[in-house]
Amino acid sequence: MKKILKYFTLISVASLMAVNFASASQQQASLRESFDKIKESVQEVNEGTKNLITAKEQENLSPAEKEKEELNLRLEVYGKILNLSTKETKDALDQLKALGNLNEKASFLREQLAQKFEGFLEFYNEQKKTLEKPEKIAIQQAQDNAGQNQAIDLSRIKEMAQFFKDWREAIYLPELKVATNFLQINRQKTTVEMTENRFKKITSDIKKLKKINFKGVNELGKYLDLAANYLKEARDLRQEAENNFWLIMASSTITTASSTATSTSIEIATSTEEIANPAGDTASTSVSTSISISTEDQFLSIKSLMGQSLNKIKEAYQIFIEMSNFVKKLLI
Amino acid sequence: MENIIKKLKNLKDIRPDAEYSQQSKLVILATPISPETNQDFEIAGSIIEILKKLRQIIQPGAEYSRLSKLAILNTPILSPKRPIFNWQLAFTMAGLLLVLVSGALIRNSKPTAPNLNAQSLETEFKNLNINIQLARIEYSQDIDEAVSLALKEITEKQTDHLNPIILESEQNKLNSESSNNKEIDNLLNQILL
Repeated sequence: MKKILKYFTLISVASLMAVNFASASQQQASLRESFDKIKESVQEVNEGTKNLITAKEQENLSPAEKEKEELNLRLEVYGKILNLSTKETKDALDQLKALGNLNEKASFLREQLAQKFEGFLEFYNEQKKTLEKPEKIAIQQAQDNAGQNQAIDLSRIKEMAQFFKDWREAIYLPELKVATNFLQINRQKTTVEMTENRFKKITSDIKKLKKINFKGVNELGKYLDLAANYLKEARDLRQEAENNFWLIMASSTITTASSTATSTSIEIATSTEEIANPAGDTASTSVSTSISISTEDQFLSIKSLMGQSLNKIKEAYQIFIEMSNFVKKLLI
Repeated sequence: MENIIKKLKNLKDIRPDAEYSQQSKLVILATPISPETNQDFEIAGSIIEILKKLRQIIQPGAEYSRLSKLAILNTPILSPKRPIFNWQLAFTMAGLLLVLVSGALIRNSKPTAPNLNAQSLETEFKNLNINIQLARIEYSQDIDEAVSLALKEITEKQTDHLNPIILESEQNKLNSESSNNKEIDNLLNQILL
């Protein structure tokens, strides 16, 4: 009976691991796809900026024509910025939703972040609607024909962009940093687990080869020790990054302060009149002061730790592939 | 036993004369039958005993004797039964053979390390998307720069001449011009040399 229970437990654990790894593999595929889409959008923003710069430097147009072209290009670039921001936010939100096996603390943070990112998406939609309002275009056309008051629209788009810039720096980027680090730490956890699983399987193969006195088994043992070291380093670096992350979270006011500011900003953004003097400025300032320079450094340190951990995993796999080649040579 | 009974049944069809029939009936009835004679060989023994007694007491008629002999000689001798095929034994033997063959094959096969298969290792590594993850860590900076520069260009009237996009574009232009020059140099060299 005990034996049956033991086998049942083993089968259940193996099935769970298989399901977990399959879902992780799916997540990794979507990671690549969304990254490609974001890169395309970045390229579009850069192209738009280049066109705007070229238009600004044009000298063969009349001042009215030049301003008209610049205005159109500014609107176009702003639209592209909103598209890029939407993709970036949606990507983060999708990844947050796809995270599994979280403890209570992490699960709570995931919910908080997801809620905020949903709010950011609404904010971008409101901004897009402002750009697409038909009456706005009609006014624009009338002004173009009269050749008057064009500076008002130009200043309006400038104000919108300035507001977006302030909002982004004060509210969006701090939350994005938290989300990005949180996601990297949890993704890396799955990566380390998958590598550990591969390591265990290889170890069992080596044990079998040892039993039959396979001629290169001692050499394989050395490779295995090396891979074990890389794996341990990868695990420790990731753990250090996670510990630092929760230390920042414990001392930071990012998530509580910005939530009020986000909702205020969305309300303001829908009204162009209010953009000139956004009431959310006070909230934004309070958030920006809450993120200290040391927190920035801590986030950079997490980024560096995660990079190092990923590189250690790469090195462990390099060793596995060298072992594979070594065994292949001996078997020929 | 079955054979003897069959022969006697055949003999029944040949009618002996009345005296022989009467005397043989008396001899048979006078033969004591023990209750233990239920075994086949004992019954056969009794019948043979009876027949011996009948031979000593009375002689059958010449015709009856001839017909009896012919009937006895014409009775087919039953062939011995074939032994029943033993499936259990066959399966056991087949199983044993299978174990022996596979054992020999295992002993002769090369050692393997299925978890060190290069192709599956490479696929697994590729699926981990480590390079993508590393690239994403670095790329977040690029996104921020692209958005910041674009917003700066939207909000400012004059362009920033140190803008990396302008510098990069100018550098590409210079590289392209320089590569054209190299091509011209190469063509000139070909003509001159």
